[in-house]
Amino acid sequence: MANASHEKSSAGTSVIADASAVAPATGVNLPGVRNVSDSIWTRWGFTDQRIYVAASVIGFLTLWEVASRLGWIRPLFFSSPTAVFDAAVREVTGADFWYDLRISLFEFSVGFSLAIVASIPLGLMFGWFRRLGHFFDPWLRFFYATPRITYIPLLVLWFGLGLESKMALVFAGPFITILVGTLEGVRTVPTTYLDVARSFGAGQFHFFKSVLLPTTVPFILAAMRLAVGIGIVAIVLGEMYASQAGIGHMLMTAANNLQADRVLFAVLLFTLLGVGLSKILLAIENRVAEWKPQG
Amino acid sequence: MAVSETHAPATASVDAFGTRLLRWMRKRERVLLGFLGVVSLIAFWELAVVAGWIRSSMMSSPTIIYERIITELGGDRLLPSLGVTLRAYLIGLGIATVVGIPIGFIGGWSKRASYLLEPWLAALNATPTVAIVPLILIWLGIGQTSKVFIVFLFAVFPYAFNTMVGVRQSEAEFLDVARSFGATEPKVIKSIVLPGAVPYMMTAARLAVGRALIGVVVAELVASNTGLGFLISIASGTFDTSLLMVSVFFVGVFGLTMTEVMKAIERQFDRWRPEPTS
Amino acid sequence: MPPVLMADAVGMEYVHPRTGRSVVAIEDFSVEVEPQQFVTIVGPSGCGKSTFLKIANGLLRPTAGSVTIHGEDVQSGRRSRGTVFQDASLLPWYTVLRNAAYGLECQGVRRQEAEERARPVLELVGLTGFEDAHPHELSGGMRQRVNVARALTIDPEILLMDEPFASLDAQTREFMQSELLGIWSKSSKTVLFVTHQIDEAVYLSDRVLVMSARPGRLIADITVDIPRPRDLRIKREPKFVELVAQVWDLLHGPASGSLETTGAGHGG
Repeated sequence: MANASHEKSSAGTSVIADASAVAPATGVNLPGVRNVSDSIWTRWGFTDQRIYVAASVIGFLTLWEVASRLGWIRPLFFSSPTAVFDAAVREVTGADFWYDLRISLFEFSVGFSLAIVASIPLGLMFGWFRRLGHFFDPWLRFFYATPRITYIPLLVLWFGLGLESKMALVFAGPFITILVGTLEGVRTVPTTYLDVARSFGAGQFHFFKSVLLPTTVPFILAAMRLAVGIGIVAIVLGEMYASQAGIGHMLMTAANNLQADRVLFAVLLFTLLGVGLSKILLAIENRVAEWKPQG
Repeated sequence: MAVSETHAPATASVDAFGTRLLRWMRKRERVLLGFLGVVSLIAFWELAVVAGWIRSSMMSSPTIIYERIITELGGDRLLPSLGVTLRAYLIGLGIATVVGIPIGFIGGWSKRASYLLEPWLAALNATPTVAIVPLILIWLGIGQTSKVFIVFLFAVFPYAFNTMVGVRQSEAEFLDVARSFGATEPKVIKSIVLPGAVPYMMTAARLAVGRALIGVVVAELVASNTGLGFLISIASGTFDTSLLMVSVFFVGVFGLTMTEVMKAIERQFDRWRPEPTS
Repeated sequence: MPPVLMADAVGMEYVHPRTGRSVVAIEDFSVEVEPQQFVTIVGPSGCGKSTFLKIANGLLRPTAGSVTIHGEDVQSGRRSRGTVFQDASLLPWYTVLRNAAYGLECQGVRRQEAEERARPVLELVGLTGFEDAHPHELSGGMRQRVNVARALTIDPEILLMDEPFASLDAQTREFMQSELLGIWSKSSKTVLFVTHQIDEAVYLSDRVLVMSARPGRLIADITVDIPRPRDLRIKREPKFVELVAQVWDLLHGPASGSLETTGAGHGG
């Protein structure tokens, strides 16, 4: 079964989804003071880092721009920050872009929401009713290990090139991911909680509500953050290769016309979508999981 | 459920056998249920296609898929395609490991390097690599090079990013111990930083293995005329449903195998750490 | 005989780089530890005793004064002291034997030789047979033994121990105190021990140095003239109880500084 329950691995996978999920270790006796026993993180004087990061980013962008203008790299292939910006402005002021964006967002939200709605109850059931989980175990493992993109041709076959196939594709990956995550979450509820509930004579339903759900929620949220990344990949791929509309389709058209600036703009959009959703989920996770002892 | 001595010998042995069978079944419950799940769903699937509930042009029945697998295995394109895919996959993954881990290490250990590297690693990590594939095609064209490069790109970021985090979180107390005994920096790295980062590298490896698979399939779908992904695109183009499903099946098996292999490797490394530490 | 460790008017002051606020952790702390003596610094939590140990170890640089071991400043490269930390901090990926040898390995000794030298030390602390185990298989008390072994293996001139039994349960803690005295008498090392438990300090040491709350100052230097070897049962004897009371009074008296503000309350 997928290792969502292994603490380190779920920390690892959430790291992939969102850089800000990594909290710096603190071992300081006094803030801002150089102390040999600090961990590597705090010894660096965390706040100075922001300046360096900003400098590094600005430096890179400048270098890129200069390289493009001076012809060190071919603008056709690599574009430049200003060109991307111009392309962005052009798109945003045009009408096609908003149509594409609406389509993409629609496809994504429908697919993702359906995935959430379907996978969480199923995951809870599969985790709670052990035998049911074992029954479906091989299938879940198989679909978890298969990259969603392999289904694109199948889904196109079944749903055609319209909105439905993309929705189905966005549905597929997150569905499995969240289902497995939820399942693992239920399975790792410590049996001590079960004992406590039983010793007070709690009924199954009450136990479910008061213990199981709260314990599982962090797992579900972590799985959702992971699913966002997978869903983004799904929609990008689906729109690039099996669609006639959407930001991904725009990307493909731009690529075919060697318009690197538009391509990069589309890449940027998808990145923002993914990061934005991740951050929202992270905020929810922090609010909801307040009771959890911080690593 | 002890068998009473007063039973006739014949029924006694049948009863004993029944008991032992039940106990054996209960122990292997998980495997048996899983097996049952596979078998029953396949049977249902077969039934659905045969009875016409599902059109065979949409989804081939298990028997047809099975027959097609046999045919293709005897043919001259399935196995070579598998080989091509495997090669590109392993090469790309290998390069990603060799490049990603050192970069991650430097990013985690050296203060200055991390200032330079981290924003980019984080940004690239968050970008859907698939969206960059067309750009790569523009740069490198179609062929083995771009395929391997795409696989590399997909797999390298988990390695770099996770290793960086793993190195950074080296337990302060261990570093204190080493320093209090006067250890030199290489010693500290070898005895504390690297072993401590291993769990993170293992997680990274597991992620990279999955992403490399996505990479190779994407690359072959759009940027190649060899490999499993290419087979998929052919099947899709010719509406050859059973071939399509066979290819998807093989990709799935491939992914499953890699996942299980990774889990086995991880178990090996967990010898000294049976309980996950926070 | 010249003292092994000499702390001369040691002071430690932290100044926040941006606000300029200063916190004085240690003030004018002078101490001399004679060879083969067992000296304990006792004081409330946060009084700076661990800080002093870190200075003695060379991990921190004092803002005033100096600490020398056999005449040589601890800040210089030579590592002649073995530190036993509060947390065993055993590397989980090494075996017990390798962990015990780790201190020596850090100093450049090859692994083979280090492990050979660590073996008899493991026997001394009573862990024969556990050489190939991993830390996670050991109990808290056993891990601390490895901790001690690691410090002893480098054959240090002085053993610095920072509340090594703080994380053990009460019974194991007492047992380890007795075990430590056994190990100490067999290895005849000089020990500088830090704790906030008064009975532990009196039981173990030849001298008890009482430290006030922050800023940490030396209030008293009490000689414990209870004969050795010391059984755990001496803790009931009047002489022992009297000494503990004496230290207690000093810690709660006017010279000690308010215990409330340092957040003490661990008892003892």
